Amino acid sequence: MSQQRNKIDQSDPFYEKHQKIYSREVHGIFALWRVTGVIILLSVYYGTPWLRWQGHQAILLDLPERKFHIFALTFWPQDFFYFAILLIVAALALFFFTTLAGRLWCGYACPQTVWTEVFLVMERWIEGNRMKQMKLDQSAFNIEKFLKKFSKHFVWIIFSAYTGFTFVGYFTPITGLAEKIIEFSLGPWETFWIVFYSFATYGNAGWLREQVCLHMCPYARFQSAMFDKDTLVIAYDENRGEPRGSRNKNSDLQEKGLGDCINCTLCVQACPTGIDIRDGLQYQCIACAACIDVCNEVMGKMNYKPGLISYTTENASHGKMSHFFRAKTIIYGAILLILLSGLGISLFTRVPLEMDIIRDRNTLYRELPDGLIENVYILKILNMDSVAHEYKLTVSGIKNLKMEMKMKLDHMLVPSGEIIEMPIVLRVSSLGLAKRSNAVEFKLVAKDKPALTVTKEARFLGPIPNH
Amino acid sequence: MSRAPEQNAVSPGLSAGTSPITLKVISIFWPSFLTAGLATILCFSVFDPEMMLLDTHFANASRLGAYTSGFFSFWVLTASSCALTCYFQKPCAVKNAKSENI
Ligand code: SF4
Ligand code: SF4
Repeated sequence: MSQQRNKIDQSDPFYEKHQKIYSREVHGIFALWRVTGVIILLSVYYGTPWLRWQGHQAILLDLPERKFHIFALTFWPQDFFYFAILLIVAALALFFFTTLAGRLWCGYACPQTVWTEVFLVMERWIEGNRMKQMKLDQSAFNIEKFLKKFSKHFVWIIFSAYTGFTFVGYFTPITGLAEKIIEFSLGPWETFWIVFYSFATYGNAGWLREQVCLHMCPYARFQSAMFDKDTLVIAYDENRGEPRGSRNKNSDLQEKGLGDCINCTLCVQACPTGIDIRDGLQYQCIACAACIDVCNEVMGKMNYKPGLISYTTENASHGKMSHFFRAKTIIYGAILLILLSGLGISLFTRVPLEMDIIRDRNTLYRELPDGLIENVYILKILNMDSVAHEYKLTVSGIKNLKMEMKMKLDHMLVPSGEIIEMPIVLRVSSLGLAKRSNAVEFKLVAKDKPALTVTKEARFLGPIPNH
Repeated sequence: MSRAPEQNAVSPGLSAGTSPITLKVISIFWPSFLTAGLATILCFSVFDPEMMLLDTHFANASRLGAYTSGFFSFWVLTASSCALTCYFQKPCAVKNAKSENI
């Protein structure tokens, strides 16, 4: 049957009708791991926005204010570089772990898995176990069915709504958000994103489930490219299991000519993506190990050795050694290490000060009556440090260049996390200009902390020199 | 080679697939969602919507509002490109067959 299914799959996936997968509840060591993982990850997700740090939300990616607070550090759009490096590190880490341990991420840590797991728990809690769920869905519509379906979706929606609220709480201060909800004064955009994210949670974990893994997850598509013969995968031991067949507990396998698989199909029933692991490793397998747990239970009942389905590597299953260190893992590991230390060093040496010099676009330059040429700029200083500083601004590049602005040039006070912005005027005698466009360099130094120094180049424009 | 015909009765999940319409919807709206998200992040980390909108009718729009409209504008754009891809994917033979019928 499963072969037949594969055939249909290949010839025309478009004409298959989707049917709900009722996965069987599983108990066992890996289920325990997954539940532990789910509890930890969910506590982190729902708890993090409530953490406080020195009077502000410890982790707040404040989009409206355009600053990211991560404990003592504050990041600005100008720090985008760190974000990019972080993404690369995350991607490489995923490659690294995939090469080592296959789809460990999918089975235990992927939000899709984690939230689906919670939704399944709620579903079982309300509709009962797998058999009861199937019966309920096949039964004619009645009050009991209505009540059960209604309560299930109600609980799902409440849970999703809280998830959406928490999500938005990462991007705007969560305490304020909560207050606004209680007072019914939530802004339209916050409301929109809470609803949007809730809806996504409800749809993905309640309805789409394994289809997200099959059709939407980019990682699922390319993960197999990282696999090699030493990658941990979930596999059925065909040599030991086949020929499969039902039997009594005490029948003699030799005599019956059977392998260890009793063909109870529990592994198929437990599989959240609805595949039969006995057909071999398949792209649909998210390595959740549910089939291992359930099969080991069966093996235990039959007094057989556990491990008919197990975590193994291709090498191990062919009786060869598995290698932890190999070209791929070493290369990924090395790049990861280099990037991480680079990130660490650059974070450590980050200069929390930014200066921008923007030319006034309306006039290129002005010729003053006394033969001076004037250029106007907008100066922007952003103090990204956690304390206020006084700065000193100097300019160089052209002889006898004069600089003028409203603030005192050597006493510019900028509070922590603030931007000051003001016009700044440069003047020089036209005789001093050799070219039409001249480089000038601005230098800003914190007076109490000379390590806080930034320089910026700008152009000083004048008329075409007529000599 | 049918090894275990009873399985389907046991698990309807075995014939799990996704309907053609769902697949189309996914392939139009999902990749475009991802790329629109990326475009939004890139765009608004470079440009502050408050500065962009300063001289326009939307000067009083909140940043969150600008991000949101930016995201959906990107999404419309990327989704239409995905939709076009889907549209042009139909093999020429199918088109020929249709016009022959006329
Ligand atoms: S759970 Fe184990 S024994 Fe039962 S069908 Fe699957 S592989 Fe065979
Ligand atoms: S085959 Fe086993 S490990 Fe893979 S998804 Fe199904 S139950 Fe999980």
